[in-house]
Amino acid sequence: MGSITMPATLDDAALEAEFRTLAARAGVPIPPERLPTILLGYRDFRAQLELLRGHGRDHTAEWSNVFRMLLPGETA
Amino acid sequence: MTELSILDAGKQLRAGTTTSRALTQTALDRIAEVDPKVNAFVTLTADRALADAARADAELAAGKDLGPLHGIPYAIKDIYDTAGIRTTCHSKLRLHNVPGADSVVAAKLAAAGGVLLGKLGTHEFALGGPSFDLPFPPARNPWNVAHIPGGSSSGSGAAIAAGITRLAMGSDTGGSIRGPAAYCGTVGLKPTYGRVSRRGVFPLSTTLDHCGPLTRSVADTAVALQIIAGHDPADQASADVPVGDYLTDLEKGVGGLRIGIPRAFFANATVASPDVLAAIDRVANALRAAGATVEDVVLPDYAAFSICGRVIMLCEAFTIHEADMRARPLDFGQLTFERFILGAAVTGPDMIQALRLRRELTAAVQAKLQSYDVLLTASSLVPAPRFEDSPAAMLSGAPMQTMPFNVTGHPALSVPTGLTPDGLPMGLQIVGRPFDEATVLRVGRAVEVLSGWDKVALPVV
Repeated sequence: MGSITMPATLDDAALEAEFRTLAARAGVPIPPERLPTILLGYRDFRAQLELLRGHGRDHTAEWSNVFRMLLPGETA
Repeated sequence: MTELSILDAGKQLRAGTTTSRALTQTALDRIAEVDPKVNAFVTLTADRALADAARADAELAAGKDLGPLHGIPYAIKDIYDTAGIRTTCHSKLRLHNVPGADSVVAAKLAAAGGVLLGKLGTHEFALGGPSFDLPFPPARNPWNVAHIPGGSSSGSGAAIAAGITRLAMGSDTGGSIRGPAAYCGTVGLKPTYGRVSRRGVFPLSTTLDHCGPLTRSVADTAVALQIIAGHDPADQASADVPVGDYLTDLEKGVGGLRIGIPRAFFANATVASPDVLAAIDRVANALRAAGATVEDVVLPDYAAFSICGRVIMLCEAFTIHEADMRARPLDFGQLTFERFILGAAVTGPDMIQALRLRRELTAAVQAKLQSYDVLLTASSLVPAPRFEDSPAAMLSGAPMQTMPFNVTGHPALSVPTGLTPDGLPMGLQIVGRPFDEATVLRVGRAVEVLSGWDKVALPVV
């Protein structure tokens, strides 16, 4: 496993702008009263995502994504 | 009566010294007495339970014996479909949902002659809680009702600890069986991924979801698993692996077993309670004295398991709820919405990287279990928090240590280790090889005896 590095951080305004873009892309309206706690969770989650992206796994690990044909007689 | 194990109650039923109707009425009386304080149930099926109990009594009297659960009261988390009984997921969105068919597990328990007392509260859709803005109040911890029971199988943990029933079904996507088990002082088993069918159980995260029991004792868990385990061709994740014998070797002890402790999981955590860590060390020493080889082992960083599971869970959960999140956002409780929406932040490459990582982590745990029969680690790093100290946001620093084995699919059992000086339960987790629940339960039974938990009385609610 690769080493874990400290994540990049965003200031509050940039974090909110980034989250609003993602929520808009998903088509989910965000109730204003729920936004502060969501941003708290998003800051934490985003830092974790940086840990995931920092591991440098490449195409050699691609067989993790299994798709296989059904065998004769096998049903989905 | 609720102090009787499932097997002992069964012996009394067959000896004619009690009846299923008496056991069921005792459970219903206990519900009337304590449920207003602990809120374990969202739906009671009292009339049906008494009718089922009367039928069980008649069947047993006629020599028709369906096995150890015949005539025994139990309850089930309200995400399991139950034919003709509403299944709400503790959510406004499914408040009037009445399934036409039983989930596979509910059908198996009914076929085994169990007596269904009702449906148990959960965190909304098995994730959002504890919450006070849902159709039903949150369950409370019978050891101290100012404290949470853990979740999401919150009603299941509360029902066992309150002495209402010996068996309550839960589900576990990141620790939702083992967390309530640790906080409520019950036994809780997340079986191997694929061991128990999830068909008819509302999903939180399809590739992380597991069905399993919470019980008062390890033996009760073994009885329950014996009934609910088995291949279901209609659940794509179900494994066509023979069901083991979970009871025969339960009292065999730990002599000769090799037990690994991934100490860095909990020893490096900043939030760990000294009481919880001391209890793990006490148990480890007792297991060593009982003949096991107990050694520290090294697994990948806990943080890697945590992010892997969180990305997969949030992505899968958001996908399940995406349409309702768009159309009916305010019908979700606040906590649920705030947690599910983070799934919108997962990109395609994030998910692919999580799947790559998942395979690495699974291989690492599997490799360690080539040399050790089981691993032993914390269930939760702390005893149950008070409601007001339960964090509003879903944060990575949560004290649960359960997600790694949802990521890898290995069977994991939470067993109580004792009480803190404040009288709250603590627990640890025993992790085994795939489909080797028998060894996990055998070690769990040893922990139950060595820790003295089998002599601890239920709390006064």
